[in-house]
Order: sequence, then structure tokens, then C-alpha cells
Amino acid sequence: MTDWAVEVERVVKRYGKLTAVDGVSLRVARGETYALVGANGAGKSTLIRMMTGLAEPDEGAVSVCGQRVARHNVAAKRHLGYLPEELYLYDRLTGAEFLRLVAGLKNCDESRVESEIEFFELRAVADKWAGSYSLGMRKKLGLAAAFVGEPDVLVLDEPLNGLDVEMMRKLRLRMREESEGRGRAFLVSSHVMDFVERTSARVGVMRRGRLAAEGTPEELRALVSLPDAPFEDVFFRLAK
Amino acid sequence: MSHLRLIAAAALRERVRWAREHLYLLAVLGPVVVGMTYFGVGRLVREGEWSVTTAWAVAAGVGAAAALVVLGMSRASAEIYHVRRPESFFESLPVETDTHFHVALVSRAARTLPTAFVAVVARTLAGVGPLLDAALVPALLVFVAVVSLAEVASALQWIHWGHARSRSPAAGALAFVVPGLFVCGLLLVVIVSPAKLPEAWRWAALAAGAAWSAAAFLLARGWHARWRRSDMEFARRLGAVAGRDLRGVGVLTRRLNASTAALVARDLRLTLRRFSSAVYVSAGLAALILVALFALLTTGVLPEGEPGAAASWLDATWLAPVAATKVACVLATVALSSLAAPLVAHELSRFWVERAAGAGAADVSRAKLWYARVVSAPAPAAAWAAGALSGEVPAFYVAPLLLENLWLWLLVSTVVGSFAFEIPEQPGLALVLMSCTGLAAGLLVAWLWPVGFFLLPAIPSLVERGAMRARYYLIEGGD
Repeated sequence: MTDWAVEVERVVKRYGKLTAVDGVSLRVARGETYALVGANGAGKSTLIRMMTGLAEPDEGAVSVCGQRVARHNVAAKRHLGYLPEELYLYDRLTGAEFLRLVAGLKNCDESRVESEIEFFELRAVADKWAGSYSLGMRKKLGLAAAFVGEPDVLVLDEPLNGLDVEMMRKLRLRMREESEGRGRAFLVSSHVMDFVERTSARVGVMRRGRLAAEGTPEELRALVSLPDAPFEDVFFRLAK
Repeated sequence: MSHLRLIAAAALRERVRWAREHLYLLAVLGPVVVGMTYFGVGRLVREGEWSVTTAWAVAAGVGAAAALVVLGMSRASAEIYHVRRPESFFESLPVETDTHFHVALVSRAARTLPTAFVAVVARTLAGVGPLLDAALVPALLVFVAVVSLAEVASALQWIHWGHARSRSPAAGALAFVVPGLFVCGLLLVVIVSPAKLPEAWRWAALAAGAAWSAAAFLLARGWHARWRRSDMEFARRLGAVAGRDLRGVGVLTRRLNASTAALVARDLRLTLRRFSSAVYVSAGLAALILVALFALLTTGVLPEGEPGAAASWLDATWLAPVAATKVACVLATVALSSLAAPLVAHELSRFWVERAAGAGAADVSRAKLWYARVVSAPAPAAAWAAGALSGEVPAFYVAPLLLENLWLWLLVSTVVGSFAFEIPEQPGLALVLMSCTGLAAGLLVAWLWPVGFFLLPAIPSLVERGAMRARYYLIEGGD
């Protein structure tokens, strides 16, 4: 079994004349939390869509837990939990029904649904239709669906949008516990630099479809000679 | 199989809950529309002394089948690739590619069933047979299979052609789908008017339909498995690139207030960028009507009037070429202006724009009224041009005919546009409602143009009703 949870090898994705992702390679180890940051349109979401098998690279390859996504699509997805940036829900299914459906499609034990409902504080609304949920509740439901089935790799695209401060903290602590305790890998795309710095072992900075810089938060600080500045300043220096 | 069952059960549960919320639509408005059709169109069919030949019946069946398939392509592609749909979440889950295909197919079949039911009702209206007839079941099943598979196969090809632009596979697929449409047209005749076909033809249509369905299933499944991953991103981004823009929107909307003008401009842009395959159907239907008019006028099919029948311009309004031109104007106006129904259905989930911008219900409703007028504006001029160019319309009546056509267009498009918010969740039913009322008003005025003045007082009530329905969707969200 490979030590890498995610391996991205020189992937390229073009939309007509626009090269959205241009020869990016990166690796995320088991038990590691890796943050992908970059300005809007830098190519983060496209890269994530290729990692999760939702888009096909024009060149290069992506593997999840040793399974080539292009060749073993379903097998690779068995290792994945994914929170998309844009989440479309069945308006007339309850949150609990939606989670049970996801658990069924992941072929996992439905008992995990209850614990995710508890963790993401959805108990009070679990039997209400998802169409009536606020943005924060929808995000929590999406996160719960990603965590259901205890996947080896969790890919979270903008997980903090709409979350309250308490839930952000709970999520951060859970990510640390699961990566350190259970060897689960996280790949997170976020614009909240404080969260990125506190949760991630390594950070990849994307700029115009390329990986402009990569390293631990300390290495990136050293790279731009900003040892004490907020991480936001480091990001601006690298991403612009 | 268990994944298919899970996804289908979730979709079914949601539809049932939707139906429970929309009892008014299903228990009141639906029967009203069906009743109007029964007492209007049904009576015409039963009591009319006309009958169509087998060739015309088959041609009408094939035309209806082609319209059904083209109308369903947008929705079929969204169902296959889960574009902006809840099922998009399942793309990241370990669900087999075939399951996505089967889910789309089941969904298409479920949506085609009501159409099959409409065909059975049409058969009953025509007095051909009872509503419940076990002998019809095989033809209905094969009809549903052929239409669903034709929609799915066409949608797969449409997206793949848009992405890959390779002509030979697309031409091959077209050559495969066209016989399917022909078989589907024959099956429609078998269901609605079996006496038009000899016994052997009916069995042949059934056998051909079953064979085509089996071949289409295997082919479409193969295309889906081969292209899904590469075409999915294209389907998701379809329409993300701005297409052609309208020139002169400002001129068209100058008389309107800013809010209504902005909404009309948005609606016209969406139409120009083909928000749904319904745009193709409407435009194609209108073009077909105008071509048919020109053919009627130039081939001497129409009855000739008595010599001196059109001595005055008052009499000329009933001359066969003039009447045909006016009827064509009404039909084309209805075909184009009823695009308001799929447009409102398309916009319903994006209604937050109107809410957030504080657009008033009167503005929202008036925008659809003007949309119906603007989008159907070419109809009176085109019908008039066909009439004038054919040389069959007396020279002294060319100018009055244009005025009559404009009068018809204004009335018909206003009536049709005012129903835009009546049943937006069910564009199919809304189309029937709009067509029935538009045609009834239009044909009456085409017969005697001053009747339009008696209809005018009813227009403000219709417009007010439209504003009331728009207010409901603005405040309640329609849900």
C-alpha cells in the first residue's frame, strides 16, 4: 500500500484557450492536512474536481490511496469524502434522510449518521426538509455527508463558508484528531488564512493554474521573509 | 441495483412531497386545463367533418415525436450529468457509471408516462376507444421506451458533439435517432388512431419499436460509459460562456420602466442563448407554420371564392388566402409567445434575483407580457409577407391584412403572456393552457376582427390575475 493518500502528477486542464490548471504536481501523505490556497480563479476548485473524479485531466494523472482515478473511478471514490463548494440538496428530503441516502450509497453503516448529526449539531433540524436550511446548516449537512463512512481522504472545498465560530473550532479540532489519531488525510481549500495556518501541515499556493509555492507555514514565511507577519500577508506575497 | 433503488426512491419521495404541497395545481388547475381541452378541442375533433389521411397522421405523429424528443433534451442532459441537481453530490461517491445512466433513463421514462396518458386521452376524445384498454398496454410501453431512449441518446450526442465537434459520429447518431422518431410517430398513430394503419403495420410498428429500443439501450449505454467523464465538465459549463448579445434591446424596451425593461432584456438574452431546447421547438414550429402557409397559398389547395366575392375590402377579410394568412399568424404567435411557460419554469429557482432587487409583482408580470409580445413580434410580419408574396391576397387588401395581423398578434400574445405565472411548475400544462386560450381568442378575432374590441375589457383582469400569481411566487417562493 502506498504512503500517499493523494498523488497528483503533472495534471493539465484546459477550457478552450484557457489553461485552468497547468502542470500541477502534489502529494498528500496519510495523516497529513494539506491546504490549497489561491485567489479566485487560480485553479483550486478545478484541481479538486480532478482529484475527486468530477473532471478529467487533459494531461497527467491523479491517484487516491494508490488507485488511479481515471482507471478505477469507483474504487478511488471508496476512499474519498468530498464537500463540494456548491452543494445542491433535495429540498424535500430531511437532513437525516439525505445522510442515510449518502450512507447507503457509500455502503456504510447507517449508525454513523446519528453520530455525525450529533457532532455537527443538526439534531434540532435533522427531521426538517433541507430546503428550509440556512447556509450554515446546509454547510454542516454537507460536511456530515463528507465524514459519513469514515473515508481515508477528505477533500473539503471552502468548508468554512457559513459556519459559526464554534463550529469552525470543532471542525479544526476534529481534523487534527482524525489526522493524528486515525491517519486520515485532509485536503482543504479555504480563504481563511488563520484556519489554514492552524490546521495544515503543508500549504500549496496556486497562482494562474500553477503551484507557485509549497511548504509548511513556517517555510512559506521564510520564503517571503515575513517571520512574524499575519499569514494573510504571506499569502498575498505568494499568490499575487 | 441497490444504488439505483436508493436514488430512485429518494427522487420519488421528493416528487410525492411536492405533489402533496401542490394539491391546488393537481386537483384544480390540472382538471380545468384538461376540461377546457375536452370541451374545446375534443368537441372540434368529434363533430368536425374533416379527417386526415394516413400519410398526414403519420407525419403529425413523427412531428409530435420529434418535438417531444427535442423538448426533453435539455432536461435529459441535466439528468444524465446532474447539472445543478441534488444528484451532483453522488458524483463523488462510489456509484457505478451505469447507475447514473439507469437513473437518468428511469427519470425520463417517468416523465414520458404522462405524455403517453395524454395520447390515450386524445384517442378517447376522438371517440376511437375507451380510456382503459388492456390491448393498448404493449404500444404504450414501447412508446415510452422509444421516447425515453431517444431523449437520452440525443442528449448524450448533443453534449458530446458540443464538446468534441466530431461530425461523423454525430451524423451516425442522427441516422440512428431519425428512424426511432419515425417508429415513435407510427406508435403514436397506433395509440391515437389505430384504424389509420393496417393490422400488419401496427404489429410491425410494435416490433420495430421494441427492436429499436433494445439497440438504443445498448448504444446509449456504451456512449455514456465512454464519454461520461470527459463530457461531464462540458455539460456543467454549458452556457457559462456568454453567447451572442441582443442589439437594440434598449429600443425594444424604451417604453417600459427600468425594472420591467431590465427583466425583459434578461429574458430575451436567455432566449437568444437557448435557455432550453424549447426555444428550438417554438422557432421550428413557427417556421413550419409559415412554410405551410406559403405552400398552401402557392399550390392552389385553398378553395377559390366566387367571382366578385371580394368587391369591397370588408368582404376580403373572409377570402380563403386572407383567412389562411390570419390563422397562420395566430398559430405562429401562439407557438412563439408560449415560450413564456418554459422560461418561467427555468427562472423559478433563480427568483431570488427579483426578490433581492425588490422588483414588484406588477413589473415581473408585465415583463413576461412584454416578453411574449416581443418574442412573437416576427409572426404577424412574416405571415403577412408570405401572404403578400404569394400574390393570392388582393392588392387592395395587402395593407389592411397587415393591420389585421398586428391586431391578432397584440391580442394573442397579451392573452398568452398574462398566463405566464399560472402553472410555472408544470410548463407542459401551462403550454396547453396558453395555447388553448390564445388559439380560442385568436381564431375568434381572425374570423371577425371587431370581436377583439369585445375581448379588450377582459385583458386588464387577465393582467391583474397574472400580477397576483407573480406576487405569490415573489412572496411565497412558490413552494
